[in-house]
Amino acid sequence: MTEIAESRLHAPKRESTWAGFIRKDDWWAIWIGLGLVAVAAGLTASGSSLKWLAIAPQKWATWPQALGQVRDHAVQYLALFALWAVLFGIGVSALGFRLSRFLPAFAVLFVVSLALYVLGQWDQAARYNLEPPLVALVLGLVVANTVGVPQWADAGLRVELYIKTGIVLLGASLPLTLIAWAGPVAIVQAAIVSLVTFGVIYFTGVRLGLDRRLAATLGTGGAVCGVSGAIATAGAVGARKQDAPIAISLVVFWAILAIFILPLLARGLQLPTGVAGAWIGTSEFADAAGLAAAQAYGGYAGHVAGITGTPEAAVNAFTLMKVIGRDIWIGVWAFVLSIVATTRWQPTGVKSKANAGEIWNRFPKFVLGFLVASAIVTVISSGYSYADYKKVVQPSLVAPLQALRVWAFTFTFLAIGLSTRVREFFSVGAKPFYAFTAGVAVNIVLGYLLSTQVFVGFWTRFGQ
Amino acid sequence: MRAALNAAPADAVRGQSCGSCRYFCQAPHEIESQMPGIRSLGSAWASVRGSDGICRKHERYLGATSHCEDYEATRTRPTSELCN
Repeated sequence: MTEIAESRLHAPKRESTWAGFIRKDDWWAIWIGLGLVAVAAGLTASGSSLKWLAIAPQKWATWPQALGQVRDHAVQYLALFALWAVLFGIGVSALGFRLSRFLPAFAVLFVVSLALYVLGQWDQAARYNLEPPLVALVLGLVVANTVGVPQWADAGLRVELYIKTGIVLLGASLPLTLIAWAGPVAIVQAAIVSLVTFGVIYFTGVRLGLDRRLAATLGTGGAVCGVSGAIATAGAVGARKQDAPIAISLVVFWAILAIFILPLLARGLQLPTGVAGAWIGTSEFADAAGLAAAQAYGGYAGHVAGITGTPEAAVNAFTLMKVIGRDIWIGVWAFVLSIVATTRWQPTGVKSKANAGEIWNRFPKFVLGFLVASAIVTVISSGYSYADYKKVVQPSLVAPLQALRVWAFTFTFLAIGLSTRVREFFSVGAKPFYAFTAGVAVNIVLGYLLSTQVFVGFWTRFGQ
Repeated sequence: MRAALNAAPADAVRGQSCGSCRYFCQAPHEIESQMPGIRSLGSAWASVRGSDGICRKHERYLGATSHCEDYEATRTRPTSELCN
């Protein structure tokens, strides 16, 4: 009886549902993103708007103009900083970071983001390729890998919290009907590429002599959702401790290269923004990296000759392809691979049991926030005529949320650069590198063919 | 009494899974420090990580419901959020 009592005493504590709501950054992105959507909707309904707070720099031609803009709206920028600092501050505190570390780091992040945002509004920015996402990334990488970033600043460099919040806010500018219309195509296209890419990486890896668990971790990292795919699979199959970091390093290495390569290739091919967004969504390896590439490419619309479509189309097509087409399936991949690992692969000395509940457990919950935000704005918009939508809903509800989303994405792009250490890329070993790179090559070519040949009509229409 | 004895094996197995083992570490801060690069494009606080953690005995990254013969109950708290 004593043994029974002891075993019960030490039974693994199941995290309560409520604890999950405050201990995961997915949920904080939902609380922050949907909270902003709800406030914006409430203000619109009462005849007011969030737009005073959702300040964004406007186009400028000379430095005095740029500085004058910032000076004239200084109070609004301070209020915006306070808003983000409070919202993200509450979130990171709940995750276990100290506010005393978050606040100074976030203040620096905000000020530099403001400078980058202003720079991106220069009327000659496109001519010199000064797209804010790319400049933010390069600046962050240079600082992190030369001067260095102190460890305490990690509290303010929460890439996932910022990008997930931005994606939830993005839902507010994507009608639910559009998601329902384009979602199935995104799922089919992404499924083809994911399955082929996983197969190439996995079988190349096994052929090169890699452990099957490492090969599977690399495979889902390249095929499904980057770092998230790698850590979900590593845990599900019981990979060695060093396997996930190998996959993560390769994902980060190729994802950052692809941020520059994919927009460059698409620009050379003069792809419409919707088509380029779909390609980036199919072939990029991480949400944050892909959004940097898609937003940079969207910035070419109207500024670079031959590139048609709207700037929003690149980001929207990317998000549908990556989030709806790839991310939401990670739990299924992890579950299936855990069955294969426990029934077919060499035992490890640790026993695991595949559990279908893991599909929900590992589901990227922020996607729910994205869908709910879309549903809220769709329902609100349905009560207006098209003319009234353009006159009321767009400027007072959607536009401020879009501005806030661009801020969240800018924090993300800068934080990616500031938290990436290039030296970590060099410890992965040749065989994992070859296996992953084989998948990258197939992924990019297949993503290009599907986006620009097979589904080109669809994605071109989507962009218009 | 009989019901309690019959339930013993199942309870024992459930009680001896990684989530309550002293070798198991699932603290997000520690996971991020032991997995270089995760912060750049991911997070140890992400839903996709579930309740996985690092087994310091087997040097593997595992689900909290895994189990093995080297199990040792943590003496400090039911689930080993602490890594040392």
